[in-house]
Amino acid sequence: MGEQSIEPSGLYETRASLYWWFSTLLTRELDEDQLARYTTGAGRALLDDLSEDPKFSPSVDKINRALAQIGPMEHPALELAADFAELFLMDAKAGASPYASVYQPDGGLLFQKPHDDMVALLKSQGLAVEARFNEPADHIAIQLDYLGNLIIKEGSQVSPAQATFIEQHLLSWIPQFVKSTEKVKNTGFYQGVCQLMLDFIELDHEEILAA
Amino acid sequence: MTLSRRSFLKGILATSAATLVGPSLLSAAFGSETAGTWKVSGSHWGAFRARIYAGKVQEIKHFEADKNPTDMLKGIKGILYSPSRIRYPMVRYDWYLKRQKSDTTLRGNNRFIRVTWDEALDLFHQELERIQTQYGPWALHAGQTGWRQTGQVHSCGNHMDRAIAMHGHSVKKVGDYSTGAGQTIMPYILGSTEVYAQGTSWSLILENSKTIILWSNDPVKNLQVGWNCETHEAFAYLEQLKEKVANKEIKVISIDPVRTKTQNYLGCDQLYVHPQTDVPLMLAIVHTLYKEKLYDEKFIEIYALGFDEFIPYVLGAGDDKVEKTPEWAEKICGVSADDIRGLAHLMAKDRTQMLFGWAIQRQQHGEQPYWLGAVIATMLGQIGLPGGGIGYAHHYSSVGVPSTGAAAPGAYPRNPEREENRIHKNDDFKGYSSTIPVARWVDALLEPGKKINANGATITLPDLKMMVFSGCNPWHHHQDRNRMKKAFHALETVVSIDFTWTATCRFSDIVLPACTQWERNDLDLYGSYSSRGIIAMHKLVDPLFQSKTDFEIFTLLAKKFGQGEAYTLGRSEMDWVRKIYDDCAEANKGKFDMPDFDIFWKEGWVDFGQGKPWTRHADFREDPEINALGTPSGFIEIFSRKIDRFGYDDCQGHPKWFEKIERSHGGPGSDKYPVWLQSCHPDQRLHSQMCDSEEYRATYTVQGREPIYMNAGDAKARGISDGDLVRVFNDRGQLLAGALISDDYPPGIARIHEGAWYGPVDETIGSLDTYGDPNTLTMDVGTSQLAQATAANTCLVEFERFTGKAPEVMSFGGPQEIS
Repeated sequence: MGEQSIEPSGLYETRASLYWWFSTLLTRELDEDQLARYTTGAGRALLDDLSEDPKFSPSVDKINRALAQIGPMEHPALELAADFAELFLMDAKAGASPYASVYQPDGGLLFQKPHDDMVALLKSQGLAVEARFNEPADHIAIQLDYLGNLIIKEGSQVSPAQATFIEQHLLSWIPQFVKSTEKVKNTGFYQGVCQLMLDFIELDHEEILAA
Repeated sequence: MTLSRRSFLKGILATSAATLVGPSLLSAAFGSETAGTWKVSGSHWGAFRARIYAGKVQEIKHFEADKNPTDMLKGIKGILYSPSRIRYPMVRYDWYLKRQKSDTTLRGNNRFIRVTWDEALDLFHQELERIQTQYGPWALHAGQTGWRQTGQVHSCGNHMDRAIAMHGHSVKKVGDYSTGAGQTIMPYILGSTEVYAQGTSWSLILENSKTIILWSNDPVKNLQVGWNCETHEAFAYLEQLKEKVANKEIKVISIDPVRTKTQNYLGCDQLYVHPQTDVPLMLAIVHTLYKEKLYDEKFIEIYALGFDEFIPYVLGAGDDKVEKTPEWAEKICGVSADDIRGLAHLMAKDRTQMLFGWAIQRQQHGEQPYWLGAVIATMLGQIGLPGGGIGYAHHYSSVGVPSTGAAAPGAYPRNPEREENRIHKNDDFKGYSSTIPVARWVDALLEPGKKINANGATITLPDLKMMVFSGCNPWHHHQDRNRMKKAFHALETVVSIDFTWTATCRFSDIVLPACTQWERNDLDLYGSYSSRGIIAMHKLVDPLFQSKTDFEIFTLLAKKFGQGEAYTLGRSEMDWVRKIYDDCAEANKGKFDMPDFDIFWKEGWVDFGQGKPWTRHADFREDPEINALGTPSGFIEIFSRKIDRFGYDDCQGHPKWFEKIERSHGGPGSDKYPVWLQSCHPDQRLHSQMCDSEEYRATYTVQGREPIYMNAGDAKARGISDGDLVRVFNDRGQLLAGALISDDYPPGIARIHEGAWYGPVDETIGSLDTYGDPNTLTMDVGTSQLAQATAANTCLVEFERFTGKAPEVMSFGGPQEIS
């Protein structure tokens, strides 16, 4: 992709929304009301729409199976909260650490170069991580949030910056992250979400390059 | 882009995704970046300067005043940024749903949910309430201690004790895992714990001793860490000693089954002795000294009691009718009779300094070798002379470096100021003991109500329902992991406060994230026993994730029951740092000049200089009446009437040899499990601290596991090569470790350093430990009815080469190797 191309208006908002949606899902646990919207509501509608694309349908199936499994449980939201914790909130060995630094070939400490790079990138855009969130800047939710922001800022322009960001800051580690989620055996909701997210990022990246 | 994709995306209403989106995680940035600042802080491993830039610790270098910094400083960043950090308050899922009715066998299954701090502290408070009202103070134990982090304001044990005490009474403990036997027996013999006391200054030892006996003592290894911020000043003396050994001015003998780091450093001699048989060796030395009239009769007459009641036992006139000759001892301890006599002659010949380490008293009947050591020193008659006598702590926290005499800074007050501040006044323990020997809490869980003897008292083990651990990792330091695992089921509620996912936290119900010592402001004593100075501990970075300082955590808890103001006494963190400094300056007024707090904080430390050389027990020697020892009689008690009256079979009126439950090299149990497992303090950690530092741990692990040091012949006989995975096992448990073959280890002897993080394959009892925690194999018995202390070094094992697919290491937060 060389020159910038113009997208039909509204599409970039959808792309940004989807990135933000994944960011939200990976920021914190769903409460009962939020979870309900995935059985009947905006979440259900979105999942149904996404499953129409053959690339996305396997992971949406996984999500749907998880929802069906927890539906009849006594505390569905808590079950998912336990899944979320097991995957993302404990230590990296047991689950799937949501920080890019941990997947570096050397060492695997938190707050390494991927964090530093994100801090610099955010700063260049006049941004910083919300003080209350208090996570290293290479948290997946922050990276996705940033990308959404970038898309909105560039509007209908699909620029090299987005492709570069996806390559250097997302695809550099998210495949390993998704693989890590698969070693945890629980309802599979978040495993599905993460796989869906990766599928979407890959598709989006292809589209950007093709444009 | 193909048309179908575009139209697909079009089909997704931007609004449907948009309504599912939460608030942004990003905000406008403000504030300019500084070029980076250097701050000062401390740790058990020593003081250092850290460069902070972009909100991160970028670089660490040792403090200039430290002339012998430890390599372990390299591990500090790895602790701070460890993927094992506890990031949020967490509650075990099943406990969250069912509270005291939870399935406690599920503890360790790693299924938690995140809660807010408010909710976590509510749960903590509710449980304290429930325990006090539904049961009573006898059901709550919040008193176990660990090595905590450094810093006097945030001392985590003090905060736990204070907050709990403001809520109600609870069961406390006596003793500790390090020196339980030693600190309990030595007051009877020499009048103080001896293990936590300043000793004869190194300079006096270097000047006066002709012979130094390092008895089961590895100072070069152990002096890397300190209770307070370690100065490492002792290493300068060890360097001088090395020279004197080389010049043959001083003879140093390491009496030890293994070749220690100290021996290798000093290039000194070793006297090999079979594991756990030092007592027969010592009795034979006593025999030789007596028979050959090499002992100081006059000294005994003036300074000691009970020699005449003790010596018949040595001469064969005791109940066992066995004369403790060198020939008798040789058969048990593996030292030839000639060598035993030679050692006795050497020790009697000239000025001899005996220095004991602590591992020797962490075995069954661990009281005995310490007692006998004192008896031998008494017979030599050099107690109280520079470079003579006996020391029990020269490997610990600057003992032997002369004290400056400066007052140390106090700590956050552990006791509530007023009884009115305590919510639940009930102090009826319903016949259960309100204090238990520290290492017997697992016994309490397994046999509540059981009566045991301990140090002259009868202890009724309480029926514990709830325990709180603050900066304490019993799932590292307690013995017999599987027995402990079973016992743990009996607890209804377990709360842990720590900064990293230790096994203790994994097996808890409520886990509260404390921050590390580098995420808070504090101050510390620089040089534990030397009182060299005061070190500032500047906050390097703000608490990471949702972690909080210990001060804040327990203040918030106290607020839950309306005692917030009483807890803090109206002071903030920095107010407390200031106050403790100012109080210390007041105490040192006229003796040591301390600058104003702000100057101290800017400079980073106050230097009290060097102390004057000093000889332990010199004042007693000079005048035993005026400077009587703290023993019942005021004299050295070779025979203790008090202990005799307790009537314990395993610790009697005078030191004795008792066979062990299991002992290698011909002892009981050695036909089934032929190898003695030594689990002494590690070389590259502080107990279990820093084990979670990924990069640093990688410098010593073997195939990612804790090393098991072993003898070449033992390895060969089992088909094990250096670097192989080894399963180590006995009837109590099993673990995986990495083979490290070393000439330092004779046949039948292996070592796994304690502090290796427990990481079982799953939560079941008997589960294979994947990393190499030696306490999976050790025995959980008290040393004797006197101290009821830890007996970890009474342990026999077997090992074999591990074949098949090795389970990955489960202990840490580091990422799995992606295949």
